[in-house]
Amino acid sequence: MSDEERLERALHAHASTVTPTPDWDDVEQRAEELRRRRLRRRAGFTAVGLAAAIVLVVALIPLLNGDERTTVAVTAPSTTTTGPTTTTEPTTTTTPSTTTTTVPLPLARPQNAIWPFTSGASFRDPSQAALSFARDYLGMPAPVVESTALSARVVEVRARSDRPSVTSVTVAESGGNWYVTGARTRNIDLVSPEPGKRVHSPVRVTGTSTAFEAQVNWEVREEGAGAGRKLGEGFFMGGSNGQFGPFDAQLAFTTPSRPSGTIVLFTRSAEDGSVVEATVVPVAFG
Amino acid sequence: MMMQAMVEANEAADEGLVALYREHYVSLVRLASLLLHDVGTAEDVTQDAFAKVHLAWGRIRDPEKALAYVRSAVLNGARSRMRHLQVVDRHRPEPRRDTQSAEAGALSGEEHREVIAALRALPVRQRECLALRYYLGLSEAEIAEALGISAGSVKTHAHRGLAALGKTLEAPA
Repeated sequence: MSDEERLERALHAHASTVTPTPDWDDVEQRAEELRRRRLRRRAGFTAVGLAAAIVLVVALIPLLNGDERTTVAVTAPSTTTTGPTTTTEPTTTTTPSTTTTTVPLPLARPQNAIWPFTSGASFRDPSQAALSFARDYLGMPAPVVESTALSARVVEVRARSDRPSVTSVTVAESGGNWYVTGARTRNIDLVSPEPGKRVHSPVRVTGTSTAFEAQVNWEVREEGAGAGRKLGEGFFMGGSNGQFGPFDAQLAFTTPSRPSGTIVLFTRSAEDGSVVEATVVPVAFG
Repeated sequence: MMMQAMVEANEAADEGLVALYREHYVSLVRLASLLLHDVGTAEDVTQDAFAKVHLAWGRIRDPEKALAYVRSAVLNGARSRMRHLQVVDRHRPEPRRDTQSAEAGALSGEEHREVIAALRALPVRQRECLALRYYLGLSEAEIAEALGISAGSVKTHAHRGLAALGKTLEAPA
């Protein structure tokens, strides 16, 4: 007998021993149970889908608002491109896709402006001016705008989205462009010198502060000097661990070649050493 | 009026399915029992398969294909139980015995029991192909449709299964 025949016989012999009893009612009950289970699952999916849709909409609202702001910011320079052609001013190089334009004659620049530099870009958007200042002047790693209070001429910036401290950047508008005139963090409250004061080396600084291990870093910079270029630097102690303590320090710096500059007081992250927050005041030298 | 027509249509459809059930229930349970360890599970799988078809009955356009549809549902159910039982068996200290093995053994004889045991030791696809071919007498094309694989694969599985079965049965106990 071949294997195939043996198999066929064995299968039929075994199968003939199986004598089940049909029960159609049981099939109907199972079908009903299955239908209910599918409905429940479908309802579950629908609920999850609805929840996801709500989350998506909520998440999109700020993005959409952000888009509007971007649209305004982007369209602003394109109106300036039409300006030179109609008024036949000197040719201005503009890039419609960015918010920056080169301005050859910064006549409208405010006296106390510290950013952008006279030779630098100009900003049609106060947030862009503040972000550029935080990144390129202060050296913050990945600054983000926390809030904008234009009536108070303040843009609040975090050095990185997860940083606890906020630096309030003061801005001023002139001739359609936005400038940074100073910055302040509540953790470093500089009482003197006041903004715009005439100072010479060594300059005495007083105020209150709180910082990690009480250490507040300082730099004196002259106009046109970005992050890392300074006339003098060092640190002094104030309060720590959230407790405000007074500071009173003498900051010595080399002779400036320009008539104005800034005093920059800042703290660094204990984690990676990057700039966390800063108080910046403009000063005159001489 | 329309509602009544729908109810009548449903009842007619149900009648078709009930007829199919009466005619093929036993052979489908037997088919499942060849693949599975015990008759209880085979019955359970077959009842579930008919319940699924019952729900899908309105979507089955071709009543001629209804049997093939139920058969596929039984095979799918049996396959999923086999996987589950293989996991359970791995954690069982004693090998599972067929619930009807004593009776079945007495009726079908020692040799038949050996053949069935050898069949159940084969990989799932080979087991399915051999059961469908030599118990239900399906063609390669029908087996391919029932299992959702190509006719060429059916041929390969059946050939390998049969060869492995012969080898096992030839080996001294």
